[in-house]
Amino acid sequence: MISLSDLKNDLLKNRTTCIVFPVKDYPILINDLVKTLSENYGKIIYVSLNRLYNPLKRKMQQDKIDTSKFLFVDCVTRTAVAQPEEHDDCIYVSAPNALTEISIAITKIIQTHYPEILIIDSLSTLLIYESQMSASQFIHSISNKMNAFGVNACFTILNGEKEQPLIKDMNLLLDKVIIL
Amino acid sequence: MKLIDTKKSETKIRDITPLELDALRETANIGTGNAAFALSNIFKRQVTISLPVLTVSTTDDISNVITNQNEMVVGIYSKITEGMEGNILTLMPINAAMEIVRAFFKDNADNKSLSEKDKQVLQKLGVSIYSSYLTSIAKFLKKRVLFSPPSIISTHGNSIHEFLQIHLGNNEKIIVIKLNFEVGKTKIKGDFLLLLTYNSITPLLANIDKKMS
Repeated sequence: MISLSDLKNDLLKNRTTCIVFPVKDYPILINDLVKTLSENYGKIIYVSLNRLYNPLKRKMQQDKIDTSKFLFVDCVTRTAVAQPEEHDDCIYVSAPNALTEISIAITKIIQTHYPEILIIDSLSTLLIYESQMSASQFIHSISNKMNAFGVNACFTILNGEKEQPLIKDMNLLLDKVIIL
Repeated sequence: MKLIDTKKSETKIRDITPLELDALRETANIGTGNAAFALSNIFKRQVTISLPVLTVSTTDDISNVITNQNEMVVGIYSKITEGMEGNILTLMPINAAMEIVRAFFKDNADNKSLSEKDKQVLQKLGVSIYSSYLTSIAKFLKKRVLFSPPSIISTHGNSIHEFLQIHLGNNEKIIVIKLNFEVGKTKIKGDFLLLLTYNSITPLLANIDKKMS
């Protein structure tokens, strides 16, 4: 079991990282990870595949996380609300598996806000809609893009049965896979 | 149990009597048979639906009510747009959602992800269950009860309350009617949740009182 301080060092040392969360503890640990990122990086892109922008930001504010550092790509709200309220720090994408839209939104934010790190939370949602092959191709494409722009990338995934083949793949695709 | 009746700025609180509670439970039960019949027709298998469990909760605490709170879940989600105020939601783990799709297509393929076609099957299922369930309640209320076309949502079970807060308020007091369903000889199990705001319950109770008097 790795501590959050070790995790911080791993994130700083490696360009592309994947953090594998125990399924049960995910809601608590993801908040801790986001807090750790906010304390160690400047601007952060938060691609949310399973949480809505408004409650996510509200929870972060309750946890005393500096939300002004974050730029959100919300891939969830538009699955439930056709026209969500616009916000300066959020780009809404139509669905968690709208991979091209997600990629375009990330590029747009990088070119306008010069972030230091990208977090994609979580790949488990992507696996609900996409095959392992598509998910691997997406991770490969995003990590290449992050390398080209000099931005760190942190992917998250749950340690479930369905996720095991993708976790194995990520050992080959990314600099470091950390199992919590 | 307390009932909050919000009229303009004043908030009155009154008790729900045990008799009203029973009647409310019975009302929730009205649509169960129809929903089970609709599901049986789709799957051509026996569908078991449990008796409704009524819980008073808040939109913040709803995650504690669901069965699969510690795993990734897929939901068929609709907002009630007319007749009552609330949401209607069917929740299940991803494996159960895939089983539903396989049972629908009578397919043994071991698909692990939901395609657009699969999502349409789940939406169709949602329309079928919700219309049969809500039509029974509408008949009882003698008013139209309509719902929005279902969306397919996915999240960690612990975050499901966030979806319910889109159309209902944060920490809003709600009545949760929960039914568990099981499709015979498959692994399909899940929760069917009807969430009604306290404001919605007022006319429902008035109707119950009228029928009982």
